[in-house]
Amino acid sequence: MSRKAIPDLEKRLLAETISRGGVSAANVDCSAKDIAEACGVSEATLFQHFKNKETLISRAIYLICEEHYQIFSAWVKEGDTLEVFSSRVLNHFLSQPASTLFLVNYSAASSRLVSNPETFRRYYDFILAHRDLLEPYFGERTPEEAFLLWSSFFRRLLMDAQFVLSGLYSDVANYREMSQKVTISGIKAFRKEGE
Amino acid sequence: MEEIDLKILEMTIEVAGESEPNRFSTREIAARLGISEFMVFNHFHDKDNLINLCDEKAASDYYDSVLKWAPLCSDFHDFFSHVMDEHIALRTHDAFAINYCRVFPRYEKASDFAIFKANVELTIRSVIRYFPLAHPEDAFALWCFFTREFACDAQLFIDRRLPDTPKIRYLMADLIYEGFGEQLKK
Repeated sequence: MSRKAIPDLEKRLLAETISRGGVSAANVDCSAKDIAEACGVSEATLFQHFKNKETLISRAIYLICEEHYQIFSAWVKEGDTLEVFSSRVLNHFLSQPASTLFLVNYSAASSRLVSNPETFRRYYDFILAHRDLLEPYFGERTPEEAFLLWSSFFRRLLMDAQFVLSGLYSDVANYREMSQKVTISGIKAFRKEGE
Repeated sequence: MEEIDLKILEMTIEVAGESEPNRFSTREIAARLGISEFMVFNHFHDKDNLINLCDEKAASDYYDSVLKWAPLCSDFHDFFSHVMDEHIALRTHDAFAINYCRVFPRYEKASDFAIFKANVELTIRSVIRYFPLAHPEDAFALWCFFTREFACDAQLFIDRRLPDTPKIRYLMADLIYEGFGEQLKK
């Protein structure tokens, strides 16, 4: 997919949207007007650049995914094992609370886009176009399998990061260890011997 | 519970699953049922109470299915598939769960998280004998993990975003049970 330069104002509007965790999302009570005002423009100007709220969100998701792809593919190229890679991805999500919350709220990885098939399609197409990212670990897959592996892998790490960020687990070290085990080895690793 | 109360709960589950979290309209619920909005509030007082009761209903249907199939299934994949069938049949419950169930993390810890945890632990006590764990203290986090993955997978089928084939189901169950380890290039 060709990458066009994003005009400065659009970049600021997208950054503002991400930094607020979204627009009137599950955990955010923030309107398009708030975002526009924070960037020093009117709501009408915002909607001149983004057709509607869905387009704004969809573009923001795409922007984060592009950034993640650049960062994560560099780690894969460094030859990380899946364990090391997943640990680095989790750390990255933990270090970027706003974009993590944004993705938890909106990304198709969390299946939250039940009413927005257009955004889902963009996300699906993005994964298929970039499925080489996880190929070193999982090999070549059918499109459906590649989508499932990709979305499940990043969803687990995103959700785990948000669980820690929202303070649901006080023993963070133990939770991180368990998260790693669940992601890599599955529930089986927790079963009693001989069962 | 009166018949109309159940109808309101089911319709709320449907409407609240279609909208963004915390953005559903009681007017829409009333309109779809052909009743007045006043009647919704007369029976359920406020939106928070309505959502909490919907959450209880959706959770109870899900727990019933888990408890029914856990003793009957020979392995995890079989269990996953049977519970999935029943869950898909309910259709609207899954989107509602993704929007409101506490197994999905939010911005901050929910004020009623302790109540939710206590309810889950009660169910876990009944089901854990079929899935014995080396460290029972991990059961709650594992339950949250399983339910989250299960709900997201189910939504992919409900929205027809992935084909519901035995192969895809097997892969979904495998990713939960075996994790990604089994999927690594040999």
